[in-house]
Amino acid sequence: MARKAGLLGPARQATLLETIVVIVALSIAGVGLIYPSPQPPTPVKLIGAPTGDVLQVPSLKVQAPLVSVKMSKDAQLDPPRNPRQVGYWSGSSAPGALTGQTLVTGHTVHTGGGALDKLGTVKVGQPVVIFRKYSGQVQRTKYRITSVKTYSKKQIATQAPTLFGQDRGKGRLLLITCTGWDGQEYHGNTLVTAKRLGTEVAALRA
Amino acid sequence: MTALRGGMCATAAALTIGLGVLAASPALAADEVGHGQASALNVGIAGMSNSVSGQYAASNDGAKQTESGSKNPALRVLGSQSLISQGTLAQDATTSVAGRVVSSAACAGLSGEGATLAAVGSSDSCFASTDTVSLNSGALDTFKNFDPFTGIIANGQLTDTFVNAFPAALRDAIRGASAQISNTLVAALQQVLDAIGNPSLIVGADAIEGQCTATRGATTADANLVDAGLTLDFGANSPVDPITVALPVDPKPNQKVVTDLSALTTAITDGLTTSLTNQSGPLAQLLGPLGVALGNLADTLNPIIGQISDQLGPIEDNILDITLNKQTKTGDSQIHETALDAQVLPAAAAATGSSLASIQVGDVDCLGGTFTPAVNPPGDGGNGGNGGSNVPTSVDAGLAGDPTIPTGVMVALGALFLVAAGGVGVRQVKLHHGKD
Repeated sequence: MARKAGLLGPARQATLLETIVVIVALSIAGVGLIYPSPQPPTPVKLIGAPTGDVLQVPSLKVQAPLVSVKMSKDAQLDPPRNPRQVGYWSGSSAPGALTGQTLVTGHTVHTGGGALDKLGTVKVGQPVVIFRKYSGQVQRTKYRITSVKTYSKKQIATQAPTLFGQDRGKGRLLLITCTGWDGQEYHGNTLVTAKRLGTEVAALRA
Repeated sequence: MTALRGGMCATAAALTIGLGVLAASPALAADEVGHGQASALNVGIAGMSNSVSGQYAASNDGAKQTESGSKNPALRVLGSQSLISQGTLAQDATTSVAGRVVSSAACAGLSGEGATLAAVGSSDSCFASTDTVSLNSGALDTFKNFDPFTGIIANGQLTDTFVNAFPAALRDAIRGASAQISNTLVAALQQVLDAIGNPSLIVGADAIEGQCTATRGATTADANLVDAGLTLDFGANSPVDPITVALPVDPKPNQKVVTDLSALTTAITDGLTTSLTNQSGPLAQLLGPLGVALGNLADTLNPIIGQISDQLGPIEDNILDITLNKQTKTGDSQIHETALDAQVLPAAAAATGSSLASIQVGDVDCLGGTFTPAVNPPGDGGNGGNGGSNVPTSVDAGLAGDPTIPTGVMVALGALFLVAAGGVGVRQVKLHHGKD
């Protein structure tokens, strides 16, 4: 027995619901405009001068603002709260330094939107660049990825002096984020090591 | 032997970034902060002006090291000289950067054939030494400009010093033959010197090398001379035997080599005495007709011979000036080291502007210093000394969700999801019912 068709009929009702979805989605976009959030780390071509320090991982299409972060008293290092930003540990060598190691950390966000969500997918040999802007000058330091490793939280804790000690490294770059999401928490870290290739400095055009 | 200690080589700061908004010109000057310079062998011998082995240099501006020159100059670079025919010249230098400090090291010298260069700044020796090497200057015109007749002959004429050595009755006659007597004295001296011959300076060693290091506020320098000796060889027919000086292995800084050249001065004095007092010699033949009693000639000329002998003293002092482990410091961060510095008749420098012959072996210069980074990194933890005792042991860099998305949005998203899911369910139900 054929069922009675509704006022709009089944196909028509489905179309209406999909239309509602689109409208709600547009509303969310509107909310986004009312409550602006930082721009996502979409691939932004460097057309203008960096307005601050920037970490660039071309293979991930990441270009994230780089800020200084401090280690807590209990030796924990947290990235900037804004997951689109990355932070370098203020106790490590400054980005572009000739000695020591520059430790940069950024968030992995399970639902997406973290600066270093895809850090574990980079390959050895790929470039990483850090731009630093100063008064009238910009410094660009190039690095080349030399290793991509995963550590458990325990391994990080026990190997921290070796991994993050500043008496080594010749200015190399360490990128670290979380990995091993089990639905509730992260159980490890992805650590990428990159060799410092050199620094270029140029004057900003007035 | 160890490998050359590598220096920290940063990429040049004076490059440009290929961004449209950046000026194309380099922004930073590349002033030298530190350097190591090494020259195995420098020679300056009459007739072969300033022939050198060349120099190897490493310079560092704090951002990168630049090198120039050859580490192992071939002997042919010395041209047609015969100073050294076989052996190994080696010179090496490096710089390194730690923090904002540039340090340097240099090593240079010569060794036997087949010797190879060892580490710079890290070992006792520049060389893995092998055979003995010898430098032979060839005959040096040592006695050029040599004049022991000061006070006796002036402007080709005898002075009162000479004339007054004779009885008063003869002085006028001697003055009358002044030019002839003067020429005779000079000729006699030349005859003596010709007999002695011009010496060759021969340096022999298994190795002679100089090393230095420098960093901010500290320098080191040293010289090694392995089985090294120095000889003045007047030739097989000379009445003067070769004068040999053994050189110490580990000389103190600026150690002078005392050379006993008394045999040379004695030979000159004896030769002159014999020539001038010989009753059948040219001077006697000249003085005899003037009434000089030739039997007393030796006694008469003794004061003159004595005066000439006194004036040979400078030969001992000046004919050969050898300094080992010669060090010159400039400030507290630069040092110049020469393992062997030999000057032959340096007194000639006053007349000629340079010594008759000079040889420098193992000549190095090291400079250290500090630099200001091209761009002073803000927020530099400067934790270079943190060897790991105070480093993060936990990096909490994972989030379940994006905290920057407002809660209201999340609620709306959740609602949207539910609505969308419900819509799909309704549609599926309708479609299902439609099939019935």
